[in-house]
Amino acid sequence: MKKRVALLLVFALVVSMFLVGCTTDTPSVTPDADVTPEELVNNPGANRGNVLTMGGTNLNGVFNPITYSTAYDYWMIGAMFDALLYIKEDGSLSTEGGLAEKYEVSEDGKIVTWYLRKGVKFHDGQELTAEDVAFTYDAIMRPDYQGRSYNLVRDIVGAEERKAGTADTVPGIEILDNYTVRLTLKAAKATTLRNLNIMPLPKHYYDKATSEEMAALDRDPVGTGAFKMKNYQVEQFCELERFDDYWNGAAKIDGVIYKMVARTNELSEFEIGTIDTVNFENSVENYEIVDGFDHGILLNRWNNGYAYVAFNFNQPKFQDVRVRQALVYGVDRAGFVQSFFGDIGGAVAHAPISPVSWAFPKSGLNEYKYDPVKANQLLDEAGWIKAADGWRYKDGEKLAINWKSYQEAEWAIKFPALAKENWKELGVDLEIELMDFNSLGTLVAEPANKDKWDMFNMAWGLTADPDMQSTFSKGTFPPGNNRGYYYNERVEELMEKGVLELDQAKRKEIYQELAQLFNEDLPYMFVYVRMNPWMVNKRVKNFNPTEFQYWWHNANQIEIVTQ
Amino acid sequence: MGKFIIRRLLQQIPIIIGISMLLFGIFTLAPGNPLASFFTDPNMTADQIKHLEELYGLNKPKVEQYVDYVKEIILHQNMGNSMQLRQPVTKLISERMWSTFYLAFLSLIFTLLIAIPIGVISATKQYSIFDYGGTIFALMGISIPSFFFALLLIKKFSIDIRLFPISGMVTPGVQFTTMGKYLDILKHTVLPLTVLSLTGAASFMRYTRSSMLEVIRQDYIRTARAKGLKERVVIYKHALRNALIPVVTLLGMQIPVLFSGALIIEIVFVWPGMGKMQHTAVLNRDYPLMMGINLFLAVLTLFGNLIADIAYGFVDPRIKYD
Amino acid sequence: MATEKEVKKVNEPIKGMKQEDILSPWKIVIKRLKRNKLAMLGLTVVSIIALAAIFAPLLTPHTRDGVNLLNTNAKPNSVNWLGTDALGRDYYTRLLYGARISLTVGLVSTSIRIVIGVILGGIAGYYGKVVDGVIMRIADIFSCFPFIPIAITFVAILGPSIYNVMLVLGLLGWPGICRIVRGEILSLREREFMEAATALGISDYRKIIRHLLPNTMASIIVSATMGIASAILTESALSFLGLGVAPPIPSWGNMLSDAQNRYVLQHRWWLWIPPGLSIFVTVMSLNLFGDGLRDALDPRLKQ
Repeated sequence: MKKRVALLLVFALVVSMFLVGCTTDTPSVTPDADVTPEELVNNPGANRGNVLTMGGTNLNGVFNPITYSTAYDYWMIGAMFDALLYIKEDGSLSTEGGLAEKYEVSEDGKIVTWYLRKGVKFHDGQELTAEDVAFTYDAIMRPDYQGRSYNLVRDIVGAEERKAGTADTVPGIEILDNYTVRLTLKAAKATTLRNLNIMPLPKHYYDKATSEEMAALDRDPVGTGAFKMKNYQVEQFCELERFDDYWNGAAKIDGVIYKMVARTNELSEFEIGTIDTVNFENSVENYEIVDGFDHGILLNRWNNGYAYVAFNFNQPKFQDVRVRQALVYGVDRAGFVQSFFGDIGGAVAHAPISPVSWAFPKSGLNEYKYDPVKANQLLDEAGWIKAADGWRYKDGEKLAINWKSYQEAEWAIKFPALAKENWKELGVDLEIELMDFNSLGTLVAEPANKDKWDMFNMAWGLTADPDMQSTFSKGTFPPGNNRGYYYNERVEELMEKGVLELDQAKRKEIYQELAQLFNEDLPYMFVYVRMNPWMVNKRVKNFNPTEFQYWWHNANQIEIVTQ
Repeated sequence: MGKFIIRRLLQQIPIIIGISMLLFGIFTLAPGNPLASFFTDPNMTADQIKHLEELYGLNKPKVEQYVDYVKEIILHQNMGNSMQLRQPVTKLISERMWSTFYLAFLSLIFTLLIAIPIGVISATKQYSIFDYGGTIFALMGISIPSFFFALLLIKKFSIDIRLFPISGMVTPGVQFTTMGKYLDILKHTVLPLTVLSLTGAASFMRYTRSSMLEVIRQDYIRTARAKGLKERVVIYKHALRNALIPVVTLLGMQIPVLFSGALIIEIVFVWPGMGKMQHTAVLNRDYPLMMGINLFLAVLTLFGNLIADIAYGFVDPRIKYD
Repeated sequence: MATEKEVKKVNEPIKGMKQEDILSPWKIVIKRLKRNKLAMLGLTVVSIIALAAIFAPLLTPHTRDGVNLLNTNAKPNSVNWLGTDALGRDYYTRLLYGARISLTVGLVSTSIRIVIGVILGGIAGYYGKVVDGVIMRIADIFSCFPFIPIAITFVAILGPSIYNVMLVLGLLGWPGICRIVRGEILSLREREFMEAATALGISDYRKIIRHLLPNTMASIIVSATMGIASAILTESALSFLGLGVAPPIPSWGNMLSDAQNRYVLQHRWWLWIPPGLSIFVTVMSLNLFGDGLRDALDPRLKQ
């Protein structure tokens, strides 16, 4: 299951995980196309010329599409590299805007053939050929490859041998002619095409003996994108300039600057006009602040992901569904979301599918509204009886829970604090243990630690595909991603069916049934889905990141109104 | 004195080895894993993580990892590559250390320029209005958490009256003349420099005042006065020299602070120094980078302490080295 | 000789006092201290804050962590004197309990520093040579650990909690005091009164405890008050990095760093001024008091 976007968000934005999402209508605010130069008089960013300046909190400087590890680096990479296929607003794939002019998938789904556009130039003037595409797949399979993309290409015949170092060539990758590459796969999946959608690297530039030598080129990338690298200053900014020979029409702006800003001051930087765009945290306070900015427009769209609290199913107390339901009924998630994200910043989550997905069930999910009476009832039924000291006991064992959380995100600190107080009234004794994100991630991934925790919280980012096998399947118990050791036979069956079914309408039914099941069985306490808000200076036109598209999806179309 | 310096330099070697062992032990035994971000990546499977562990040598026993690390440094002058930033550690440090040093050095100078005169005058005019004023001024600097002081300054000077930039060291994307470039850097320097100098000045000022007070009550100062020497000569020639002894100690210990103490200020002002890298290296358990930065700082500190000890001998003839 | 002189001075009648009022050294200290208005002000403020911290539960009708999502981010009013935070917790109550935590962090961590620093510094300064070498090398190693990275790692190992914060501050902070004590003793032991003590055959232990350490007291006190104050500040800096006292336990540091949001700065003064002012006033008062105490304690300072 390729939750590529998810991963990016989850990791790179560890600190900003506090971002959240909302209701089921997608707000669609797009930049006002009718700004006149006169209106820019009081615009604090108006004197920065025909260059787009974006604010962001971090760049690692790994500008390589196969080895990058943070979403912010990917912001730059996407402007300098194109993928074979373009991701459309609804998340589907298209050749329009992609480097492949055509592709074919065989009847059994096991052979994929790419036909490349002709005349596409890399930034160094050389033409893109089938060699480059084949090289990129091969680079991901090399034994010393240190990135995260191997899983995307491991179904190609010969990949395992190449990875293990027992073969130097990969029979599954064939160059048919200068512009045609044929891939042969071991298995066909609904996610195959999405996985194979790489950003080609020029072989003549990147083909080095070791991964260290390739890494030495990280800061001087050469791609086919609308912009090329101009000046990268560590910890300060990254400046890109227009690539005049861009195959899809040269960009309308002279360049793009990514300026590093501090999370605390990002909106202030926007206010005084040092940056044109800011992808800010969706807190209720931040929405209040941006409401007062006359020179900016709010783009408030869903984030494709959800935040959760995992139950550890190795603990007998959580094996009773009534206990899980009682705990969810017993904490005021709606109040929390309202208090932190307000009306437009997020919504309570009820299932592991984001509201932006085609598979999201519009109705029929139990909302588990805050209901201490019901929660008490369920706990009584489950045999946990309140004793004279106010806590609940069953067979002499106290209902005490150890919840591990992390300190980098505000919700991860405040939500457990709320649960502790709410559950105290139910007679459930919650102990919160804060640690840093890295320690928590390591702790719950280690199979030997399976008895060391009862609950923990994190967030998942998702892709356009709703497949969720990697997070809930028996096959992915730790060190895999099913950290809570959840297992349900019916769920297992449906998830397998969902990924092998190729017809989208049928898949939709399957995933809706799954959503219902998860909603009732509660492998997690689902906490929230959130918005991913941007503020954009009015002088910028056509800047329009969406749920499935990064800001650069139309990089060459972005315009700036100058004085 | 020469013998003393050589002996002290030789003594540093076992200390550095000790520090490196301790650091390596603490870092690698701490919970967490440099590959933790891969653990939460749905794209990564257990076998790939194992493969990466082998690539990075994380599956070896800790002692062997340490020996490999030291061997690489001695044989190839190679401190390894950062796992997160994928570049050589030495390169990552050298491209950031000068910004840190520039800010730290300037702030040290300003600190001393503010602190020593106030401290001296405050001591010579003890219990005067100037003394109280100076004391309160100095104390204000160390009574506000520096990150908060920085935020308040930004609010006032960058957002409300827009005099100085909020963050960074240069304005990106603008072609400046040479002069313009320096002015631009200077404008970016003002706020972080203010915070660092004021918070640093307090402790120097108090140390100067304390020891000055002590010195001017000593018999030899009275004797000097009795001999009819001018007050200025007494204070600045005889008293100040002795009063600065504890200040010199503080100065020696200030060198590591120059490099690591500005961490929070660098983060708030997005100053392109080593601050943020230090923080994220730890959060990501980037072992080679953590080791590199901390060893670098440790060596600097040892060096600073050594200078302090030697300077001590120069300014205080009563101290005997044997 | 200094010690002789001091004794004589104590026995001398002080101007405006009756001959029969023979004062002990501590009475002199208190008397001198009382004359320093700034110091007394500092002492008074610190005492009030300490009392408020000790009797926190009696001073508020609310509980420390009690949430109320129907009453979040409330302005100060007659029920919630300082308003409420994002979870609807009473801010005044949290501020009172925060005083407990912040003062405890300062006191305990400074005690750890002083105990280690004075013992090792005293021994190193007095014996010199190899002992001095070894101790100062250990001090070097400790002061070479860059504070924040080590603190982060330490906190990661043990988890962020009030105990670990105190431990880190204490264990990493002692070389400063150690160097000061050692430096003072190094120069004191060359003075005449020590030669006299040696001639009188006084034991090393007695020489260190009775004659050398009291003479370093001023420096220790100054650095102790600064130590408590700076521990409170350091805790807030660690909180800024998410590594201070772990919520939901309130400390002034984590309350303040919680309020670093731009909106809060502009529109919710009651969330940042109280913890900010508390830190400011406490640290300031501690320093004023320490400063006064230093003057009062110093046998070499004449009034």
